[in-house]
Formats: sequence, structure tokens, C-alpha cells
Amino acid sequence: MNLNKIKNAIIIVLFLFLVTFSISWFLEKDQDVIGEKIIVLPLEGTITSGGSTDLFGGSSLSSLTFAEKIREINAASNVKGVIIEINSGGGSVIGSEEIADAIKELNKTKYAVIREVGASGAYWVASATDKIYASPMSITGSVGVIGSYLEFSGLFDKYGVGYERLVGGEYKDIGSPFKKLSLEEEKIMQKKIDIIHEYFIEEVAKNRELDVDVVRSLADGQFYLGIEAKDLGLIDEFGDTNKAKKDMEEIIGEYKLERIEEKKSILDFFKLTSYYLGKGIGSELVNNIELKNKMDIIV
Amino acid sequence: MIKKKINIWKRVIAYFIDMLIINFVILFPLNKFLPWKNLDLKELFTNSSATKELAIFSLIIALINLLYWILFEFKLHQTIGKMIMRLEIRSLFGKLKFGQVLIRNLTKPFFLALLIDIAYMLLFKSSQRLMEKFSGTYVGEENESK
Repeated sequence: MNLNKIKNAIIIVLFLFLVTFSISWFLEKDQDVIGEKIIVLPLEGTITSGGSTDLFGGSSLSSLTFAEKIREINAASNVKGVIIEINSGGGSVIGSEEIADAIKELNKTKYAVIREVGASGAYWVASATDKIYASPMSITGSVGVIGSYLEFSGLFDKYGVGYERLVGGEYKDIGSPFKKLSLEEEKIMQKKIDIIHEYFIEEVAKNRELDVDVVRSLADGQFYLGIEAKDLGLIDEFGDTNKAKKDMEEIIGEYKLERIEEKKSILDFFKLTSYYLGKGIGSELVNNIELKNKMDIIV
Repeated sequence: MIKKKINIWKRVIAYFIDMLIINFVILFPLNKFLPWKNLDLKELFTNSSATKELAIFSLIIALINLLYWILFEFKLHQTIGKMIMRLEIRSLFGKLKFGQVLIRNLTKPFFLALLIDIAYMLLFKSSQRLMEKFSGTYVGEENESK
């Protein structure tokens, strides 16, 4: 083999090695392109176990979609930490529990940051993380259950509309807005709400490693401002997402922050618009005031 | 004109030597970033971020791979594997041009394309790969008179 050729071959290999080394250096510097990161996952709007977005401004968050997103993140080896950025007053019991369970299964360092509101079901979700951050003025806590609903029987009487009760099973139409609750029915409903409330308290106590009696004493449904919540042990630190990231980096090392936003395409807008036009705005408004034969229990 | 058909095994061994150098020496600095190192197969289909990263990496590796073959064959008419196996690239039309080297190596980073490229050589009992045919190049013995 010609010595000159060997010298040239070494130069080429060194050159190529330098190229890959530079790429590697660039990738390490700019973790945006590729590499390990901390994910910020916003949790906004009313938590539902199904999920849709309201055309009239209010938004809801599907627990199925959110829990699936968390499972995706859990499988991603390049995600080192997760910050759940909360702005929600809670919602469905099942939905909140599904999200909290998915977070508990997350094998990454996970923090919650409560922005404006992180109350009730959303606080349940926050309690499933390793650490809760909030502003001193954030609304949090509100560990309670609502089963209240509008009852229209008086209005129907006024207009001569009657409710013909045909049921198989004494309590089949319990919670119907077309009739008043009997004393017995009220007791049954209150018992169910108390069971959910107790379950909620126990979950929060377990997640936050607090005494059940302490949580029970705070769980009268009232909300707490961040400044009160910290004294009561409901949150850990004051601060926003940046503070949470900085603290997380002290434990897991420095990584680029990547925010996962739900992107709505123009196609989604048209799909939603045509849905509402087809269905009729009036009927949707009726749905929105919960004129249906069931009662929603929310946390 | 192609002087004589060379032993295909010499070419296969030369190729594997080159691939060893590319994968274990040249691409070594990128090893820590390889997204498929701990990749769950499900993640590839469900996680758009993982898919994006895999696409970026595949592109980077394909380009470096291509650069290796082009630089060696254009500058030295040989890669390290070919040097060891005493093989070299020749042009059917006089001096070897950069365009010829580029065309003959276009399939190298893409496994499936390379298979088709080689399949032509085996099916038609040719001494040239399909891309060698297009580029007007061939592989000959180093000590063979040109």
C-alpha cells in the first residue's frame, strides 16, 4: 500500500470524525432539535371522562386523551422530567382519577405548577405529582364533591307540563330534573357523594403523604389561596414553571424545556363549525344547561 | 472497457470493512444520541417527537455515510476496505469525475436501494452494480493494468 494513500486515508477519516463530532456538539448544545428534555404539559379547562371543546369559549379536557399523552411521555426515553401546568377547577370524578393514576405510573420526575386555579379534581391530579408549585394567589384545594343540579318540576307545573313516572326499580330516575328528590332519594344521593368525598380525601392524603384526618379537616370544599395552602401542606413551593424547572434540574440535570400544546388545525375548526351548524346551536345550548335525565357528580 | 471480472467476495469483504469503520469510528461521537438505543417500537408509531428524531438521525447518518464513500473514492479511487482488498474504482471514460463517484454511491446509505443495486449485478451476472452502470464506473484489481 502506498504510504501517501494511507496518509490521505487517515486525513479523510479524521475529517469525517470531526464532522460527526461537530454535529454531536451541536446536538448537545441545541437540545431543541433532538435529545433529552423536560416536558411541560398544560392541563386546562374542565376535566371530562369523554372530552370535547365547547364552541362558546369554555374548554374541556378529555382524561382519556390526557392520560394517553402521559403514557406516550412515559415511553419516551429522551424525556427526563415532566411539569404539569394546571389551570383547571376540576371536573369529572373518573376523569380526574384517570389522569392522577396515569401520573402516578409516570416513571419520571414530575412536578405540578398551579397557575390561576388548581382546585378540586385538578388538585387531585396535582397531588399525584412529586411536588406542587403555585403562586401565593393561586386558587387551590377545594377538596369536595358537587352533585347539585337544576330541578325544573316547578317550572313544568307552571306551564301545565306533567312528569309521567314510569320506572322499573324504585330509584331508577333518581336525580331526574323533572321531579323533586324524595327524602329517601336525597339520603341515597348524599351517601354516594360522601363515599366519593371520602375516597377523594384518602387519595389526596395518600398522594401527599398527609394524615387522612388532617386532609379531612381541610376538605370542607373551600378553596385555599396558595399562601394558605403552603402553610396547610397542600402545596410545596411558591413559584412558576421556570422555578419548577430550575428545581427539577438540580435533581436530574439541565435539559431543554419543551411545551406540548394541543394544536388545532384549520380542519378541526371546520369540523367543529359544521358540527354545530348541523346540530343546531339551540339544541347545544339546551345540552349546556344540563337538561338531561342525569345528574353529574363532579370534583 | 472492463478488463476482468473480480471476485465478488473481495468486494463484499471490502464493503464490510468500510461499514465497520463508518459505524464504529466515524459515527462514534453520535452514538450517545442514537434515539433507537432505548426505543420502544410502539413509541416509533405513537410518539411524533421520537419519529422526528429518528428521521433527523437517519438523514445525518445517511449523509455522513455518503460523504465517506464519495471522499475516499474521489480522492483516492479507493476506500479503506478496497485498499485492504487491493481493489480500486475506475472510469470507463477516462479520468474519474466527481459526478461519476456521486452517482455510483447514491444507493450506499439506503439499505433497500443498495440491495436492488446489487441484485442487478447478481441477476444479470454483471461485474457492475446498477449505479456503476449508470455512472460508467467499475471496480478493478489494484495491480491490474489500466
